[in-house]
Amino acid sequence: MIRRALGPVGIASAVSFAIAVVAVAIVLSGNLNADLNLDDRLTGPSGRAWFGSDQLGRPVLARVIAGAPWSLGVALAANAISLCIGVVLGLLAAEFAGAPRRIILQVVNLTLSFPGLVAAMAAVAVLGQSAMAVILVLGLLAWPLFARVVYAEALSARERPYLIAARIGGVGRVTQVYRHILPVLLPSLIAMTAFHFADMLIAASALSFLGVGAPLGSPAWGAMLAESRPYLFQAPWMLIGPAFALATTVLLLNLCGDALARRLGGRRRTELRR
Amino acid sequence: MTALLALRGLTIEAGDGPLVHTIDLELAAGRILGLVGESGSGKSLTVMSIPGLLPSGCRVSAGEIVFDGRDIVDLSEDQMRPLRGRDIGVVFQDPFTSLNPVRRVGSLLEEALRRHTGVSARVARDRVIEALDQVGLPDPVGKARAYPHQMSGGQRQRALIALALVNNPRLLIADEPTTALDATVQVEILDVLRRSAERVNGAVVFVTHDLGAAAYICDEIAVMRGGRIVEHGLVQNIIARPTHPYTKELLACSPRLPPRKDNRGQP
Amino acid sequence: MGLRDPVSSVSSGLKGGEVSRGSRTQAWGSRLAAGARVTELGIVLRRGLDLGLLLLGLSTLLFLLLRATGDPISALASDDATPEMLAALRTQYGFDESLPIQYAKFLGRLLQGDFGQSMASGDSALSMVLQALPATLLLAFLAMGATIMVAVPLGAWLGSAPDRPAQRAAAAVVYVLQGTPGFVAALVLVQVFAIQTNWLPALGFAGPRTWVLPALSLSLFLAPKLARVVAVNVDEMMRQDFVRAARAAGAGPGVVLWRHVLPNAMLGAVALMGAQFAALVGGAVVIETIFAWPGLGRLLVQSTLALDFPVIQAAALVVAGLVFAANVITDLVFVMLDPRLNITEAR
Repeated sequence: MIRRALGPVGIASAVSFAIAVVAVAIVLSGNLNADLNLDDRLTGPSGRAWFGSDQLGRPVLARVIAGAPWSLGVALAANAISLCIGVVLGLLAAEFAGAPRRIILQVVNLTLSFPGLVAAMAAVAVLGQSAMAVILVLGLLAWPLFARVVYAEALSARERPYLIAARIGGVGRVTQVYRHILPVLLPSLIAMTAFHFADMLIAASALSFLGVGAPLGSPAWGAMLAESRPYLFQAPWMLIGPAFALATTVLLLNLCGDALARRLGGRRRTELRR
Repeated sequence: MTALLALRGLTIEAGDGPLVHTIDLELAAGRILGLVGESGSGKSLTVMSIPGLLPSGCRVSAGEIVFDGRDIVDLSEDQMRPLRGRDIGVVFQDPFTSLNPVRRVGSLLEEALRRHTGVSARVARDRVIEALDQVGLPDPVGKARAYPHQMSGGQRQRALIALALVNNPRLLIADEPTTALDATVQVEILDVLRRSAERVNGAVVFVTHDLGAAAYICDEIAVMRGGRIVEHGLVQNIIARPTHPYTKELLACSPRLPPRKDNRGQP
Repeated sequence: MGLRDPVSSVSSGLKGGEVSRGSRTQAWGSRLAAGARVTELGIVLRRGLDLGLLLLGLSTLLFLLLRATGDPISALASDDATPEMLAALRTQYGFDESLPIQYAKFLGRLLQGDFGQSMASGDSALSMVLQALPATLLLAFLAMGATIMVAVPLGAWLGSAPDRPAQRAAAAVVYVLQGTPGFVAALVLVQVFAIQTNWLPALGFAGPRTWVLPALSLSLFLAPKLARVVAVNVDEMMRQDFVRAARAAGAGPGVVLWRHVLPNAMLGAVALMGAQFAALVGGAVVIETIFAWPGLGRLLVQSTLALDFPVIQAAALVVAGLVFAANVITDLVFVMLDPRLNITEAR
C-alpha cells in the first residue's frame, strides 16, 4: 500500500513532520493548559479546546496529552519487566531439560491463569494507587507471553547444526546462549515488543478504566474514558479524545511491529501476536 | 498419423522478456515424447502452458497450442477448465506436497471423477479403487481411505498418476514425476507411467532433466536449452547418434537405467 | 508389485482396511487399538494432574495474596463497630487463627468443594459463582460465534486475492479495527447505538436485544485478528502444490477454496480461535462491567472491590478451570481436524 510506495524512511519522515506540525499548533493555541474553568463546562470543540472540555471545564485534548506519560510510561515499564523475565525464563526452560523445564512451564501456566484484576487490586492495596503497582502487576503477569515464544524458538535453535557443533566443541553454555541463540531470537523479540507494548497499553488503560492504579482525577486515558460515561449524551467528545488517542497509539504500534517483523525476518506475524 | 497435440511457434514471456522461444512440437496419440533439459531450460513452462497452468506473471505471447484440432491458447479459464482432468491430465513432480494433506486420497480421485462424469458416489468409489489398483498400489481399498502421510513417496506418486488418469485423458503431462524419488522407485514409476499410457492409448509428454530416464520410456526425445529446442528425434537416434553438443553433455552425465523392457524401437 | 486382478479384491465386498482376514492383520489391529486406549488414558491422567496442580497453586497464591492485602473484617464491618464486634466477626470467619492453620482449614474445605460463604451476602460463594456462570458462557458463545461467522469468510475472501484493490481496502479497515481496544469499541458502540439513537439497550441482561451490543463489542475486537490469520493462512495455502494439482484436475475457484484450501487454512486459525475462546470464557471483565452483564467477570470485579475472599477464590478457581477446559478442547479439536496428528490406522 502506501508503505510500499514511499518506503520506510519516507514514511518515518512524513509522520515525524506531521507530529511536529501538530505539536507546534497545540502549543501555540494554548491547548496545553489543563486547568479547570468552570465557566466552560461541557462545551464542544472550540478554538481553545480542540476536543471540547469535560465536566470540570478542562480541555479534553490537554488532559489527553497530560495523561500520555502515565499510560505510555506504565506500558513501557511493564513491557521491559516482562521482556526481561520472559526471556530469561524462556531461555532457561529451553536449555535445561527435565525438572527445571517442567517447573518453569508449570509456573507459566499458573501465571497465565492468575486473575489479573485481583492481582492488580492486591497490588494497589499494598502499594497504593500508583503507577508502580500497575507496572509490577502487568510486568509480573505478562512475562509468560515472551517466555513461551522464547522457549519455542530457543528450543528449535538448539537443534540447529551449528549449535550442536558448538556443544560438541565444548563451548560454554552461557557463551552459546549469548552469542548463538540470542541473535537468532532478536528479530522476533523486537517485533513482539512492539505488539506487547500495545497490549500493555490496553491493559493499563483497562485497569485505569476500572479505577485501579491511577489516582482519582488522573488524566490517564482509561480513567478519562470512565469519566466520560455519565456524559456520553451531552458531551461525546469526552469519549472521543482519549478513545482516539488510545486507538491511534495502538494502531501505530501495530504498524511498527509489522514493519519490524517484515524487515527483520523473524517468525510470522500471526504467530507472534499470541 | 494426425497429431493429437501440436505446438507451433509457441513463445512464453514473463515480465522481462521471453523465456521460451518459438517451440514447434507434434505428438500423436499413443506416443510418448520426452522433453529433456536442465532447470531453467523452459521445459516446465512449455508443458504447463498446455493446460493453461502457467505461474502468474507468465503468459503465452505468440504461437498456437493445437489440441485435438483446436487452438486452445486463447481459451478463457472457464473454457479451459472442462478440459483439465478430462482430456488433459497432469502428474506433478513432488509427491509429498501435491496431495492435499487433510483429504483422503480416494476422495481426491472421486472429486475429479465425479466432476467430469455424472456417476453416483458408489460407482465412483469402485472406479477409484480400480484406478488405484491399476497403478499398482497394494491394498487399493485401504489406500483410497488413507491420507497421504500414511503412504510412502513412491505410493503417493502412483496415487498422483492415478489421479491424473482417472478420467482416461487423451493427453498426459508428466512434469518430472520421478525427480523426488529414490532410484529404485523411479524405475517402477516409469513402468507404471508407460503401462498406463499404453492401456488408454494416450499421448504422454514426459518432462525430465534425466536423459536416461527419458530414454527408458519415450519414443521421441526433444532436448531443450535456454528456452529453445536444440535437438529432436526418435529416441534411438538421439541416444546412439546425438548431434548437438549439449545433447552429448547430457548423455554423458545421466545415470544408467536398465534397458527398455518392451520391443518398441521403431515408430 | 505387478498387476493384480482388480476384480477379486473389489468384488469380494471387503470394506475398510481389512483386505486380508489373516490373523496377522487382526493381531496388529487390536494391538494398535489397545495402545491408543492406553495412551489416551495416560494423557488424560497427566492433564488431570496438571489441572490439579494448577488449581492448588492458584488457590494458595490467592490465599496468601489476599491475606496480605489487608483486613477484610474492617472493610466488612460498619463504621461504628466496636472492637468486640470486630473480634467476634474475626472468630466467625476464622481470621483469628494462625496463618498455617487457616491455610490448612482452607485447603481442607476446598478439597471438599466448600468455598465458604460470601462475606457480603452470606450466600454460598460457589453458588454465586455458578449462578454467574451461564451469563458468561452465553456471552462467550455468542461472541465467538459471531466472530467466526464474520472472520472466516472475510479472511477467506481477503486471502484468496490479496492484491486486488477491494481486498486491500478491506484489509486496511480490518487493520484499523484490530487496533481498537475492546472496551473503547464498546463505549463507542454504546454511544452510537444506545445513547444517540436509542435503538438498542445500553445495559443489562434481559432478552436478545440486550445481547447484541456486548457480543458485538467483543466480536469487533476479536474478528479482525482472526480474519487476518485466516487470510494469511489462505494466502499461503493457495500457493501450495496440492492446489495446483487440484486445479489441474479441473477444480474451479469455488471448489479450490472451500474443499481444498480452507480445510488446510483452518488448522492454523483454530489455534487462535481456541485462545480467543479461552479468553472469553475467562470472563470479559471490562465488557461485563460496561454492560452490567451479570457474569463471572463482573462478579470478580465486585468481589475484589469488596474484598470478599471466598467469592474471589471461588470465582478465580472456576475461571481457571474453565480456561483450562477450553484449552483442552482446543487441543482435541486440533487432533480431530488434522489427520496427521491422529494415531495412524493400521496399514
